[in-house]
This record gives sequence, structure tokens and C-alpha cells, in this order.
Amino acid sequence: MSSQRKGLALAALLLSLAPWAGAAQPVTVVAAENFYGDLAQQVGGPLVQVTSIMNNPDQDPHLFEASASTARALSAARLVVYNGVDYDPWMDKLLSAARAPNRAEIVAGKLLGKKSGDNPHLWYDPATMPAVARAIAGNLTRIDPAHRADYQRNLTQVLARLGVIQARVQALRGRTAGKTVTATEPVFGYMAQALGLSMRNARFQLAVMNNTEPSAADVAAFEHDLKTRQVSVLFYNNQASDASAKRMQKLAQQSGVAVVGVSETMPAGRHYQDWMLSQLDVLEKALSH
Amino acid sequence: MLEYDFMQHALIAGGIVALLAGVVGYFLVLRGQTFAGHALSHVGFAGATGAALVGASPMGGMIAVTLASGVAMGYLGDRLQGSDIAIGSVLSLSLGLGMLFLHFYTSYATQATALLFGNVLGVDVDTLWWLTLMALVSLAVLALLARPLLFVSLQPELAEARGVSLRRVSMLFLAIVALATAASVQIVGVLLVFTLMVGPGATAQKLTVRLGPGIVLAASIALAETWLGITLAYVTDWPTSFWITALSTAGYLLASLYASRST
Repeated sequence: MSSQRKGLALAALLLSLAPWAGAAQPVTVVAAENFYGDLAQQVGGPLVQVTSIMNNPDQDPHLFEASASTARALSAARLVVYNGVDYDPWMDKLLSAARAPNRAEIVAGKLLGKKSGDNPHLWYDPATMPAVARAIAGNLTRIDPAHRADYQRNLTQVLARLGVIQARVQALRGRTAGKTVTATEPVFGYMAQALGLSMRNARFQLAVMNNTEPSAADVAAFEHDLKTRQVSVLFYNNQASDASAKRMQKLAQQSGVAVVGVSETMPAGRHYQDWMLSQLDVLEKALSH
Repeated sequence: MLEYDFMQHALIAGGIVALLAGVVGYFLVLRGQTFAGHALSHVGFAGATGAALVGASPMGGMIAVTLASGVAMGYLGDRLQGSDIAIGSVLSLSLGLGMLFLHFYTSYATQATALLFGNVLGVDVDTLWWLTLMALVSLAVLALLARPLLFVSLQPELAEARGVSLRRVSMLFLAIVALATAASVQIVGVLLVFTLMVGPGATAQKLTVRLGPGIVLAASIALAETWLGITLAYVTDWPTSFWITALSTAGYLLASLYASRST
């Protein structure tokens, strides 16, 4: 009885300390993918402590087993950001296993009204990151209202930097609109759409992404496109490529079709904006050849 | 580590799967049908993708196809000698069908394929109840079936002469294996289900030839390996699947050494 009472007293003490402790400590944020983590860091600055789960561009995001430290980080997080649209189905499971009533969740797919079966590579859509950044700022302000002004100021800067990407896309559009391109995987899909590129061989890309074999007709159409140079660029997923995708890359090089490598996960040490802009640079160079 | 919800759930879910797989696996090893356990943990792929294709629940499709495959394997190979071929045929057909369904599937199929990669660290409370129910049903049916199952496994000719249908018993048994597998796969993953069905059963049979103690031993070994494996995964931050497979293999090796020294 007395130990129980002690426990209660201790709990009450801890509870009364909680608001202070919360204000002094940085807000813990966990992002499933490192580009969302980078965005959260930009919006939160030194007021947040961000952990990104998928942060290695060399691993295939589709074959991923979450570890105990990941689950632990999720238990302690105040804010969680992930992609959704079945890109990271393990997140839903981990979140429902590691319950935390005070944790806010931002799902990019839900913000943008996407559903199961849609192309999950949302971060290549120029409209995604501004929406996610606003949601992050809104949630951080709610969790830590004392720093409202900091979050708003950071958000304005982040949106301005993201605006550079959108401006760049608009500027490139004049040269890219209507051009025919192809890809080994649908990673670049939304960006290609924004650039007005006409994307060929969608069925082949689906097969590679779903880890099945592309049909003979799909492979033949793809090879024909490359050999006869029907397409001006081949987008190649550096990160999760299978044998048939590698073959297409080789064939493109032999036929003189420009190959633009894109990665699913952000390379370490980069910011989202630089990463996107450098990929657009590579595309521009490839198109001017 | 017990202060975390996900660790409590992992230990409970892992424990239920271990007991279920340990007991079912004991019979599976006894009958020399471990290949069936392997096959049944993979055929759900066709069910999940097929269901996604027609817009049904991938999980329902997975359970239905696994169950149907178990029954089909039992029907095609009622005698143990022929059962590898029956199992191989059903397995290859279902993997082929899975590829076909994905071919017709015109969007991103991650929600279907993700079903095969359960993670023991990602189990919620509803899933725990559901898993408990499936485990109780499987074990209850197995308890009713145990006597004829042993009879046809150890003395098939005699059993047949006494009027026990080999085919019916084989179908029922593989249906239980299928149910146990389908219930466990999406929670702990393909690899772990197969490991827990084969390793502990084989280890127990190295240590004792008696049935009752053997079953209890298999279930205890499975439970110990699972809990130790989850704990080691927590401490080292390595994947749970690695630790449990490593413990299972080590357990079998030790038991083999012990058995060969004591004879």
C-alpha cells in the first residue's frame, strides 16, 4: 500500500514537471524517410531533434525490416512524418504497436489526397513538400506553442527555398514540355508530369517496382524506344534496380539516349532542395545534348 | 525494455506464435512434411495479390488461398512418400499465379506484397486478440486430430486397414498447418514462421522419442528461442529474424551433438 502511494506521489511529481521538461527539451520528431526528416529539421531548427529511419540511398526501401531502436524512437516521438500510400506499410504497424497518446502524425499521402495504388513517390511532386512543411509547422506550433514565432519564421524560409524548385520546374517546362522520355521505375513520375514530359513504358515500370517480370511485349517496346531513339531521356533508379532495368540502362548508353540517374532516398548530407535541384540540373544537361 | 508497448506486444505475439508453431511443427517434423510448412508460408502471396486484383481484402485472400493449398496438398499427396511432389506442384502453381496477378495489376502492389513481411515489433492489441483466437482454434482441432494423426503417420498401412482415411487426416492436418501459418505470417513474417515450425520440433525429437514430453519440449524450445531472440534483438538492434533463426539452428546442432554422444 505504502509503495503504491509512493509510486502515485512520484507520478504526480513527474506529471507536474512534464510541461517544463517538455519546454526545455527539443521536440522529438521521427521521419520514416530522410527527405521528410530534413524538412522537419529545416522547419524546427534547433528546437527539434529529428531521427530519420530510411536514410541510406544504397538500400532498397521495399525490402526493409524495422529494428528495435526504430520502434523505440517512435515510442518517444512527439511528431511522426511518413509517406503513406503503402510506400512504408511498416510504419502503420509500428505506430499501432508503439502507442503514444501525445504523438501527432503527418502522412504525406493523406495530405495530398492520394490512395492505395497511386504512385507512392510523392516527394518528387513539387506540390508535396510545401504542404508537408506547412503541416509540420502547424503541428510543432501546437506541441510547443512557446516557439510559435520561430516555427513561422522557419516555415517562411523553407517555403521560399521550396519555391526555387517550383520556379526551376516552370523555367524548365518550356524546354521539356511535350518531350518523350522513359524510365526503369516510376520514381521520377510526378516530377516528369510537372515538367510536362510524356512518359512511356508505364507497364514496364510498374512490373519492376512490383518485383514481377515485365512481359515480353513490354520489354520489346522499351528496347524499341531506346534503339530507335523515340525517347530523349531514360530515368534510371540508382537504388532499387533489377537485372532488366540494368539492361535497359546499358542499351540506352549504346543507343545514345541520355541516362539520368535518380535516387529514391536522399543521399546523406544533402538537403531536399539541393538534391532536387541537382537532379533537375542533370536533366537539363542531358536534354541539351 | 518492458516499459514499451511494442516490446510487450512482441513478446506476447511471439509467444503465441511460438507455442502454436512449436506444437504444429512437432507433428510436421514427425511426418517429414517440413517442406509443406515452407510452401504454405509462401502460397499466401498468390491469395494476397489475387484479392488485391479483384478489390477484395488481401488478408482474406491470403488466408483463403493458404487454407485451400493446405487441403489440396493433403488431397494430392495423402501418402507421405508422394507428398513432396504434391507440395512442390501447389507451391510453384501459386507462386506463378501470384506473378500473373501482379502482371494484371495496374497500380502499385505494395499493400498486397507487404503482407508476407510481418514484423514482430509492429503488433497492435486487436491483432493480439485475433492471433489468440486463431491459435486456440488450430490447437483445439489439432488436439482432436492428434490420435488418428499419429496412427496414420507412424503406421499408415495398419491405419488404413483399420478404416482410417489417410487422405482425410492428411487434408485436415495440412489445413491446420495452413491456418497456423496464415495467422502467423503477417504478424511475424515468412522466415520466422518457418523457423519456429521446423527447428524446435526437430530439436525436441533429437532429445526424446516420447510423444507427450516431445510436444511439451518443442513448444518450450520455441518459446525460449522466441523470447530470447526478441530480447537479443532489442539489446543488439539487429533484426529479430536473424536472432531467432540463429538460436533455432544452434539449438538443433547442440541437441544433435548431445544425441550422438549419448548413444
